[in-house]
Amino acid sequence: MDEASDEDLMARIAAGDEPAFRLLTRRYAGRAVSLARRITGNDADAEEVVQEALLRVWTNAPRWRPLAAFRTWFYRVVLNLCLSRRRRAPFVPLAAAGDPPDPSADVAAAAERDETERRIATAIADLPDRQRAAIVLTYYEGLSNAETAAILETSVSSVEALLVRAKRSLRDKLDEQRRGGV
Amino acid sequence: MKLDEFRDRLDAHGADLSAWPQAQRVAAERLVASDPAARVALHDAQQLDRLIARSLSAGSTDAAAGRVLAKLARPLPPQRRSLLSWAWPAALLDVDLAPARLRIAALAGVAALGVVLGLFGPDVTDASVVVASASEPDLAVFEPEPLTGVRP
Repeated sequence: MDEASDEDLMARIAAGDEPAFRLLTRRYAGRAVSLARRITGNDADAEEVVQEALLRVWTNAPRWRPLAAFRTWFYRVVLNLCLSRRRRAPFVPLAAAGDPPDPSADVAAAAERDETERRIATAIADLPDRQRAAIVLTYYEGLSNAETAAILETSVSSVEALLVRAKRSLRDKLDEQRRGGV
Repeated sequence: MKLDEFRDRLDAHGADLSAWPQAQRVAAERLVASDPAARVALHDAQQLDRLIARSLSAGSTDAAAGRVLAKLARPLPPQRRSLLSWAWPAALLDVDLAPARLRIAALAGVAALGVVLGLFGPDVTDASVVVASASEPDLAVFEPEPLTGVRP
């Protein structure tokens, strides 16, 4: 059953097959938490969002119709829950965890790299919701612009416009921070 | 392809030219080969893409995913099955009504109050009008006189 497609699993879940649901949750929980964490900026919210989204998969499975790929539909649910939650609570940028320190690495270079990562993380956190969502879906999830458009329920050209605006904004923020020596 | 368009395309499609649509990729590669400013733009875009990807890949979520799975290990709620399930478009399933529950409840309450008042509320018919018309039936007759045509 491990090789079953998402859509096959959904058909089984619709018939009340709990092991199929457990398999689908194991397949998606990690990626979904990562996605939600990067949108909400909050670990606790991300976990709650994913738990709620997965429960929706179970409860709504009998009414689910494969009009789109399961992943597209599921990420759309996760994203909508994240954005709905963000409207109620302010965004807290994630701390850039970075890689474990390498004792042989040059300390100054590592500090500069951490600083740059902190700057870009802050700049991404400051983006408007949909621009950040487009960035996360394309760069973290590695989705194409067409897949991102399906999840954001918009056109490919709108996604491209979101990405162009987001990157201009990131570039401007990084330049500002460099000039200000922050 | 002009330099400005190339910069926009870099932001829209990313700095990996091999992932671009075929026609645009060929034009972009030609521009990069002939224009030093395009090569600088490509280098800057590659740097920004790397920064974004590294920033987003920071931190592991294994523990968080484990906690989610542990919470889902409890008995699952009943599934929603409806005789009309075929009539529900899949898009409606991800509509989150939670934030609007209070407003929905208020609207339902006002509607219910309207029904109750309509059925059991006070009768607002104007009694004086009914009495006047009943006690003066002549006022309601407007037939003209047969010969003169003058109204009484």
